[in-house]
Amino acid sequence: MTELFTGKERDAETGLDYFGARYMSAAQGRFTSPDPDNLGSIKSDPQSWNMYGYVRNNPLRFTDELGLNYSVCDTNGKNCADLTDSQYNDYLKSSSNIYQTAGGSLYSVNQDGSDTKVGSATYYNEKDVAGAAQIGASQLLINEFAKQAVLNAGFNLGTRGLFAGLSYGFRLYRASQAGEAAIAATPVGRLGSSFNAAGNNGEQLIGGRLYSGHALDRLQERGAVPSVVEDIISSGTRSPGRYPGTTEVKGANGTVILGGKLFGVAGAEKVITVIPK
Amino acid sequence: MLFSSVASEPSLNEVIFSGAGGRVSVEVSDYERSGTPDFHDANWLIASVSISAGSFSGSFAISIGTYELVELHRQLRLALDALVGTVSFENMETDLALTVEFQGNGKARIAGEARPHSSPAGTLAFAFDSDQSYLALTLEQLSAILRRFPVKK
Repeated sequence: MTELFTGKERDAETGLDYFGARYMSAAQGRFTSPDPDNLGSIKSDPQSWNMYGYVRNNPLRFTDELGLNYSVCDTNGKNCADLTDSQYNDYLKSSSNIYQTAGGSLYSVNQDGSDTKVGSATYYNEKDVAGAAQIGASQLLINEFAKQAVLNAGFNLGTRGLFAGLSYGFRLYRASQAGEAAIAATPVGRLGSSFNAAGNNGEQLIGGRLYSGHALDRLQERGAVPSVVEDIISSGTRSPGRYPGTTEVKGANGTVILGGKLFGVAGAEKVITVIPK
Repeated sequence: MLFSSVASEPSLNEVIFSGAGGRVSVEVSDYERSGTPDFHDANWLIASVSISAGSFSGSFAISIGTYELVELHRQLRLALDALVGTVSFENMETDLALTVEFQGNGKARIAGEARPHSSPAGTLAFAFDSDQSYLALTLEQLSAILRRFPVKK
């Protein structure tokens, strides 16, 4: 075994990365077994139906250190509890009157039929949380990951005692779920920052391959990993690009545009953009 | 593709292909990256495409290289000079394909397909008739955009 992708061990015989609960195939960008119970799936988020996906197919942006991790916070986004997948799953099973919106907020249904916001559940990334802390951010929320929390799950943190002894300091109170649809529509990314915002990445060398910042943005947005690009380049069909100095490589998993010299401007060959299928 | 109303007044950064029953506009808002020394990254533009064709309309974000607009401008200028030929445009990321086929007598047929990557299932094919008067204005708009957003070398 050698330590590779996100610091996980890679099995030399199978080429798979070990993620605790599951193995992840770097070549395929997929877990080799389904997410246990497909916990993260919700009806309104087709991407979440994919039980084999690794970090919502956004490995450049997110990592999944233990196979799964959740952060449950109070309604102010503070007093957060970091839970493993099994902890969170147990917690959900023990609750009955709670549901989660697509935006990741947790609501309880009151006896009079009204709703009370009791907190938020966010599927988060340990490395990103650490990075956010370094830049002074109090919390990193990833909306799309929040969607993976739980659907129609029960939630009664104070009385059911699931987290008894953990003392996370939650304070549950009533609120309305109005407006959550707008949050759910926000693309993947840090809270308030569209995931498809341009200009996030700079040119990088990954696995000996030079990527433009734009190409890395595209990989993130479209949920592809560099190994997919390598696969396309190595096995795809090459043809001259439509602009001087560019090469178009079409493969089963998409198209890669390579460029080195455009309109007389020299430069090292790099991946200009990626159009995954 | 998000359905939305299509603006009727062009902005200074907008190029419009319009005609009978159809309108395609590409509005450039800015360079995607400023200050990068890399030629490829420096020439991506952030743009929005709005399409109205018959009873259908929609808009979506798109990335276009400055040099792609240069090529579109070149083709359109040549076709307008001769009033014959076909202008073919498809951005490198294949979100938007557009052809302008001059049919003689100053008439032209504009056809295309929008395939926004943000909505893979949302493809819109369209076609409508136009003429040289509309397209001459289109060329002016394109020239203005290229002056504002030239190819960075």
